[in-house]
Amino acid sequence: MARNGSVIYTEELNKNFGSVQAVRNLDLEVFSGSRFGFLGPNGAGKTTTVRMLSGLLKQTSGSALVCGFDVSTQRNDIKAITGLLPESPGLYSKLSAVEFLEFIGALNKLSGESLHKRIDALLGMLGLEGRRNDLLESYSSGMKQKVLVASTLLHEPKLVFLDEPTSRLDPSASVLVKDLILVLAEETETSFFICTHQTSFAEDVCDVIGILNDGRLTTVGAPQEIVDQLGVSDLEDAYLKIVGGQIDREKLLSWRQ
Amino acid sequence: MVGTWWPIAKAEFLVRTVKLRRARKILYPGLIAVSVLVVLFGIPNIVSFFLAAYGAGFELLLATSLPGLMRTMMLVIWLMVLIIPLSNSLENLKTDQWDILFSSNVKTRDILFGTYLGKVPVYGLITLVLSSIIVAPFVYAYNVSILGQLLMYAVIILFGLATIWISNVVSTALHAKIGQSPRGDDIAKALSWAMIPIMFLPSMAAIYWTDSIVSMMGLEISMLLPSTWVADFLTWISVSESSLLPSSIANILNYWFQISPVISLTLFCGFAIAVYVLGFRGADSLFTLSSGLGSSKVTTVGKENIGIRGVRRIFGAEFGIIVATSLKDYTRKLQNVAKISYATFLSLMVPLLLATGPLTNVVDDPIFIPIMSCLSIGMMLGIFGGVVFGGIGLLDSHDQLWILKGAPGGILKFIAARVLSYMMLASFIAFLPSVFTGFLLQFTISTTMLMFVYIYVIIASGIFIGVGITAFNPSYDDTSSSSFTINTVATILITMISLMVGLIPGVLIAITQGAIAPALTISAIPAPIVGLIILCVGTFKLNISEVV
Repeated sequence: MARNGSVIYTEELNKNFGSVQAVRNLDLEVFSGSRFGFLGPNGAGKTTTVRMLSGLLKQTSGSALVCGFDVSTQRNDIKAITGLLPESPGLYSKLSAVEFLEFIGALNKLSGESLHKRIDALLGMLGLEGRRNDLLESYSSGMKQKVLVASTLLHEPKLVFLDEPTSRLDPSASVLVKDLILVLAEETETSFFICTHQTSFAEDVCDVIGILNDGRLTTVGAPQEIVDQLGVSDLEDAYLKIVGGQIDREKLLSWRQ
Repeated sequence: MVGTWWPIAKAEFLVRTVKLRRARKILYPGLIAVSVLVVLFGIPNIVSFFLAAYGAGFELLLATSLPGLMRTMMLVIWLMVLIIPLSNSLENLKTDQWDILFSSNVKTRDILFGTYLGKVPVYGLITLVLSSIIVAPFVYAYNVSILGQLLMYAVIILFGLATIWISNVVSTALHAKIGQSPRGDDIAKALSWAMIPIMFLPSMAAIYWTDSIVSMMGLEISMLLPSTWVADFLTWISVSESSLLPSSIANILNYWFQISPVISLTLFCGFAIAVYVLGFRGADSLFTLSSGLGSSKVTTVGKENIGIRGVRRIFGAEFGIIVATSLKDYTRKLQNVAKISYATFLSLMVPLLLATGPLTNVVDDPIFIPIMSCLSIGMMLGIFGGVVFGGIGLLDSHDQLWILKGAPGGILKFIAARVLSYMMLASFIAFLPSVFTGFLLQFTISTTMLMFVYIYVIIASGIFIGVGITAFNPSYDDTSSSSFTINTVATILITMISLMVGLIPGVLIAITQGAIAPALTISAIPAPIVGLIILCVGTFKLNISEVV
């Protein structure tokens, strides 16, 4: 099943939680150096897909290759060359940013001068150098998100899974993360798999978009391609047309009666 | 129209009785009915059955000493009703609902009254059941009439309500002052642990170290406590409504009462009115969210100390970082420091009790006292080791678990580092009581060292068991979850059983051969073996588990 040039390749990938089918027959191919945007409503199965592809969850059926490694049998190899930014911050409140990043580095077999140089550079770039030794309990949610972004990139992963990377960030920090993704993809061939609800972010950053609805991949293509295909003005309209969710004005006021 | 305190009380009641869920309307009245039956028939019959077994002599002794005993029991119940809700509420610091309430233009005193009223059905019921333990011996010894019993319950419930009010006022004020933040949450959890020794131990120690409970409770100092006023008034009701002869009643009252029952009643009523009035009047100034205990203070870490640098050096570059991080994360949490201090403090009490309590006359025994000290401190710290280092100390959240699982071999490295760092802390916990006991009870250096090794092995076993069980069934940072309760009970039971298995042959060897070292070695063998098996199983399960 190994494919030249692809970092993710799945065939008939399924995941069930009891009677709930979270992901249904997912066939997907993501190419090296690309920025794949995974859109879908809450509970569509985006996070479950990311967790299967990063070797954290076992699929119920089907198969997947990530960077040439099988998700069923080579999980540790996948973890070593991928980075995962989880949806919400699971930081250690009693560690400083530097200590937390040192810890993440050590888990990924990094240590010494090179690790510290990398930590300093990342914290400086993300505007956290002044707070580097403060305990994370005193950080705002945006600052915590920046630390998580740094921890995801610390070991220079070949493929990065980002789950809602900018949901807690202010506009300037969002632009910074956006630029970081673009420059890493263009200059270092790093691939990104980004789950997001923000269609404008996906439109700006991603070169390929996949829309997942009720566990099923319904649309895949370049953002403009999807917009043109559906005859709408932007990706948000395309998303709403596929997923649904537009409610007329009369219904919006009906609760007042 | 009902005030805004009503929906607040209703919400508080629903939260407090969440375990009854949808069947609440049937189960809660059922619970009241069962409690009333237990209080009126169950506990009096059980108490009578046991007390009757001791014979008429004991009955006479009981009848004469009950008033003093009543003061002690009321003190214990008062502290329990005061501390348990306070400690529970500090365990789960939540002030974000206040933003919703204040934005809905609710007055502070309505919040206070509503939360109080919502707590009354649960804590009132607990007070009722506990109070029957106090009333039952009186009913047996003095043959108190039904009217007398009802009056006694009424007084205890009124006292219980005033105490719940104090607890509510103090906990709400503490929540407001601490504020909801990761640091505030940590401070509150540490306080919830500190509450128990601060309020309980002095009274327990007083009971233990006096030659007679009766003589201690006759001291004038106890007359300053509201629990004593209530206890004396209850005694007065019970003897007045009893079948005792008037001369016996006069003797009891003359012997026990420093102040008349009317003054006791007046003091109690004054106390109850004062706490309600002060709570309401202070509502606005007490309950302004202020984060006064430094919950939003920014802490900056300094240079690493020699211990942490040593750990890094010993365990190598990468694993050394993980062990050092584990040590820092654990020891910087105030709640962990409070738990360890509490465990150490309790373990220091054991040699004190042995040296100054009723066992003083056997302190010179060269076998009994060392064995007794090791086994009792070991049992106490072994259980504490499991609860303090397992439980909520291991993993904070699902998201933290995802981060660890995202690294190759992350879980194995993390658990290994956690256990090693806990074992380092355990050496300090084992060292203090061993040296203190050896010094106080004049053990030889070799006996003191043996004691240290034994206690250390037992604490380490507790750590293996606690960490293993928590890894098997993570409860994260949620002390109100069923996982946390199950893990705590399982940790205590497994630690106790595995210690008992070794303890029995150990004690037999101590008795038959009079040798300390073989006795302690045999006693120490099963627990670490059981612990290591549980640790391996738990780590394996955590490593392969799917957390959604």
